[in-house]
Amino acid sequence: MTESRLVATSLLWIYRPVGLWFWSLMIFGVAIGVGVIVTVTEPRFSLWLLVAGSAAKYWLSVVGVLLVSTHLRQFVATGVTRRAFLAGSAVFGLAAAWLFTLIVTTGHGIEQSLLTLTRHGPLPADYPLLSAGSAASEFFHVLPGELAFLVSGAAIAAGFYRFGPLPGLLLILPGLVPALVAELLLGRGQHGEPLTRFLPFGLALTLSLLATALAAAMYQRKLRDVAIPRPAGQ
Amino acid sequence: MISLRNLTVRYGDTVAIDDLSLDLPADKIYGLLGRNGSGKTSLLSVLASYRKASAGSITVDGADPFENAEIMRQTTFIRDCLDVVQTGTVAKVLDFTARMRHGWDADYAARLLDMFELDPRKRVASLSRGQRSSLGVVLGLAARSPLTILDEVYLGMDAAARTAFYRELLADYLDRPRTIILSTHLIEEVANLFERVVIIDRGRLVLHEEADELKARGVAVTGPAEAVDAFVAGRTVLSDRRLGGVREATLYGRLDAQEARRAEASGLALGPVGIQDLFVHLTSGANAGSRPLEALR
Repeated sequence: MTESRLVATSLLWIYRPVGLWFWSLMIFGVAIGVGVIVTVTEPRFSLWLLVAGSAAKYWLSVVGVLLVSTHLRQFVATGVTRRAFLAGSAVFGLAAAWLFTLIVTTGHGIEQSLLTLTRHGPLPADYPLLSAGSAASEFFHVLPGELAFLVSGAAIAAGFYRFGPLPGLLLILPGLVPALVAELLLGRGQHGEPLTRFLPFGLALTLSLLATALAAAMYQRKLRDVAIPRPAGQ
Repeated sequence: MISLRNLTVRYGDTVAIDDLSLDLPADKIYGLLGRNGSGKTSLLSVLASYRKASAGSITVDGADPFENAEIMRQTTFIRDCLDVVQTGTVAKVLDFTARMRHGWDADYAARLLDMFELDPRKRVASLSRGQRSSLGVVLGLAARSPLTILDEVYLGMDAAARTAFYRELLADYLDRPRTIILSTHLIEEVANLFERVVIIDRGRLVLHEEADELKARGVAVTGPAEAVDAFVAGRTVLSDRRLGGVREATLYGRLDAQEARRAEASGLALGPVGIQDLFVHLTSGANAGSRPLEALR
């Protein structure tokens, strides 16, 4: 097994239990929330997309921060090169974003099915309906956001890690670009529905992925030869 | 073989390692000694590829170790701060290391855990300072890396744990010889483990030689003050103590048989000097400032 592959599989191994906890909590929380909503009112929005869809992005941004602040030195300490770590963490990030997107999209479908089963009529018009045809579109609408938040977290953390607190603060702005572009162009409406704003979907998707790729390149440049200092406070 | 040539490490305006050149043959136990801020950890960080040198070169078996997968894989660097996930359990840390380290000896690690009475279910963050150091020792020894670097790993360990560590280190080294670099302030305690000693001060090499040779370089001369005065004239005196008419002078430099006989004939007693005494004298402010630092070998 190559070093970078070992890094990717090890990160998946590390985050598997945490991810299971995260999604269990999401499913449990949203299930209770949906139960309350259908009891007291009409389901005019997708709680799953609003809560779990957003939480997944923020969770991935935290993972991005941890990749730099915790895992870089953990892996280098076991003899892994920075190059292999960066390649492995990129594969892990792509896999995690893809998996989270799949769960978000699938969860939306399951939520919709359950809501349909509990009602004797169609869902309200405001509810963002998912069909076999729109599932792929929703998947590729969610994916750039997941990737963007992960990379933003990693790029911001890399700025602090490499340059310290003050330059790190300034580097928050370029680090935030992927997340801001994704939110601006491919955000979510008030009912949880995927929105394509300002530009056609294809162009918005391309711009979002481009911003993410640029921030990923910035992250890579910051860390490819970075020193591994003692952790703060130790 | 580790070779350093004109190695320099800077942090902004601060020079941590200053134009240091050194050759360290493989498969020996080295004691790396230096006062606080002397540049020991910076030197070890460069050796372990934790940091890039600002200038000069470093080679391990002929290749630059920085970002060299082959060399990094064969190097273990344990710092007192422990580069592990603090929220994980000891068992998780060992599992992770086992995944990453090809030469990891899980049975040996388990035996060391027992020896240091470390509970694998405990979280690293909840371990005492000494227990964390013991975990560092487990990670350092069970990795069985050809280049093992232990930077002040004894912090907080009680006397029994330290003794167990020294005993285990020596036994494992004799069983599987490899290059081990120990950075320590507890010099006298570990001195018997060292095959070679490297002393650095203010980022510069003060001394590098066989431990036995180093011990033989120092001699304590005790006797009547006048006789000692006459005997030490023209020699490098590392320290001097007087009590009444008796003087004890610690000399840096080997005495040949003729000189030893002359000392005894003058009623002087010759005694050994510990590495720690030599270290203190070689790196104390007064000594370091009063004469140029002598780089041996």
